[in-house]
Amino acid sequence: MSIGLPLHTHAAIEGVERVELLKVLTPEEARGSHLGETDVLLLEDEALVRRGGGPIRISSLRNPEVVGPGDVVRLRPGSSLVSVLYRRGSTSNTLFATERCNSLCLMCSQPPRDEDDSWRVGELLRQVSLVDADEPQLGITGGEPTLLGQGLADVLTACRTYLPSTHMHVLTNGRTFKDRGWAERWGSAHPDHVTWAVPLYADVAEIHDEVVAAEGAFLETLQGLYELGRLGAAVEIRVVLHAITIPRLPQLAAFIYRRLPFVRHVALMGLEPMGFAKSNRDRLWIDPADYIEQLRAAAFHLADRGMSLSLYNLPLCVLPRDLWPFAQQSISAWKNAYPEICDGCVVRPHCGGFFASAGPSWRSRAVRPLKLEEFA
Amino acid sequence: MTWRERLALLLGAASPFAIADHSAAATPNTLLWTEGGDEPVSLQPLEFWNDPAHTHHLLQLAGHRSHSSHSSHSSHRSHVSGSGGHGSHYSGTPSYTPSYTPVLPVAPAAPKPVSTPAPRPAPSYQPSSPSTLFEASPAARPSTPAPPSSAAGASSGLVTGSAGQAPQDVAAGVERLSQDDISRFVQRVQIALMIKGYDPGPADGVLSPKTREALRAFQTAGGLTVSGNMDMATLHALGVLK
Repeated sequence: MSIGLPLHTHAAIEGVERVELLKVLTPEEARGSHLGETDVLLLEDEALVRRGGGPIRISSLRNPEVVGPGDVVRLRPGSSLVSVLYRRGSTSNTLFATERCNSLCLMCSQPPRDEDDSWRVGELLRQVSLVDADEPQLGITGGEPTLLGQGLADVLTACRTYLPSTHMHVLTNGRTFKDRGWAERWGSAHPDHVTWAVPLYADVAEIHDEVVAAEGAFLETLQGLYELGRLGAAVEIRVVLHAITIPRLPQLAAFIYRRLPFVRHVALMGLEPMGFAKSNRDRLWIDPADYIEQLRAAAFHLADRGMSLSLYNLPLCVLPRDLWPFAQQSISAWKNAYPEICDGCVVRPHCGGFFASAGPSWRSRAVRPLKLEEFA
Repeated sequence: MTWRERLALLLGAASPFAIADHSAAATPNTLLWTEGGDEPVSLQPLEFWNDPAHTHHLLQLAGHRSHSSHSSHSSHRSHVSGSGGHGSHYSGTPSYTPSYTPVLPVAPAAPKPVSTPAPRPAPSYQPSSPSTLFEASPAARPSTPAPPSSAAGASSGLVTGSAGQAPQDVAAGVERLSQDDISRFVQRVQIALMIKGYDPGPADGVLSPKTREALRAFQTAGGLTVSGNMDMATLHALGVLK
């Protein structure tokens, strides 16, 4: 099993007295940077060194490849952990907003914790100021980021200031947008550079509310979507494909086209076997090979009507060829993997592969290496 | 990407209007999409359909389109590419026997293509001149007598820019590519085109007229320079250089 580069490594760390977010730069790049010497860890031959504001020295990195120039790392006092919060060149960089959530989705890959973590706002503001200004895209995820309230508006305003050309992609369940005041506050913080990615699991409340385990969530999300539509905000709808959402997937596609015509992009997503998804496997698992018919109906209902559509987290070998043009390599590099069965597959360079967390029991029976002869 | 562009991308090779010759494909703005209907409308004069074999091909396409509920499926299109392909409509023989050995530099060349994103691992295939990898334009063709027919011309387009260039490039370190290497690379491009919903014909490693048509359709939809060549920008967009 081959897997992407992790976001953490251990090292010998000296001089860290409080939580530090620092930018890693080569000495050459540091000389031309607007950042001060208290913000920068210089990447030297054997170590990472901060010269200003109390010297810090990081050496003997267990996996030196984890940290590279341009990255933003977090160090904690008394810990040997070096965490990469931003990786230059990665297409899946995110700001982690909060662990709290007002829903409790059956397949949540990042189960929420109900603790006050509003301290994150300060860290996020700091992180935003250290990200490369030419970064094309940055995600905001959680938890439910809007639970930061004004904090989220502040983070978006900081992005507008420090990263004016970076496109922000915010994962939210949309429920809190039903309050017009908040919708306007978040929507106006960085109006032209934010896509709000909102999950919708069915065209009927019963199923959606079951999936997110929150009574009334369907109505709130729809109300929130209409508030976003009212603001002319860019909205993406995300549908996670599993045993509960599949039966009405074609109806959901029709619903989105009819009722949410302002939506700019629809993502139909394979299940990530993490967090709650693992404990709810019995309720959720359906082999993608068994939902191709519904998937195809939904996909072409939207695509034929000119709606922009993507398929995430589904390997090419399980999809019929007519759906291939919609398939994206969507799995973040650090949790992306290809099992041994993929060795020698000719479409592998174009295939999204699998979540590293997906053991054989989460693998479709249709998975197989494609041979060159099939294309001749 | 707007939905219009997306639609153009999806319909690109499925549409008979994508089966255009050089001059037609070089002006992508001649393709318009109607507001209400699903069918594309072309303002392009249709003379290039006059080849009877071509017309037959288009009728086949139309037949496939009429019974499909949707418009852009490589599986449907792949029937069309079937056996033989329509390289046979061209006067020349599609088998390529260039009279020189194509070369490809291994050392990174000095001028990087402008369109190449900066933070990437060095691609295994580096151009020896900006944005030409397999260049087929007559200007870049070596002075070696080329076969006269268009199909043979297309095949002999499997030439790097360096083949027609000064010997100092060769001194900088070039590796002779075997016919097999080139064939395998073209195959990768063909498979990438299929995955993106275009019909380059069978993945046989031959840069056939049909593969060039698919390249042009892909370039048109992606807003790239429409050449039918495997230039750097196109190869990056196809994801065959990572």
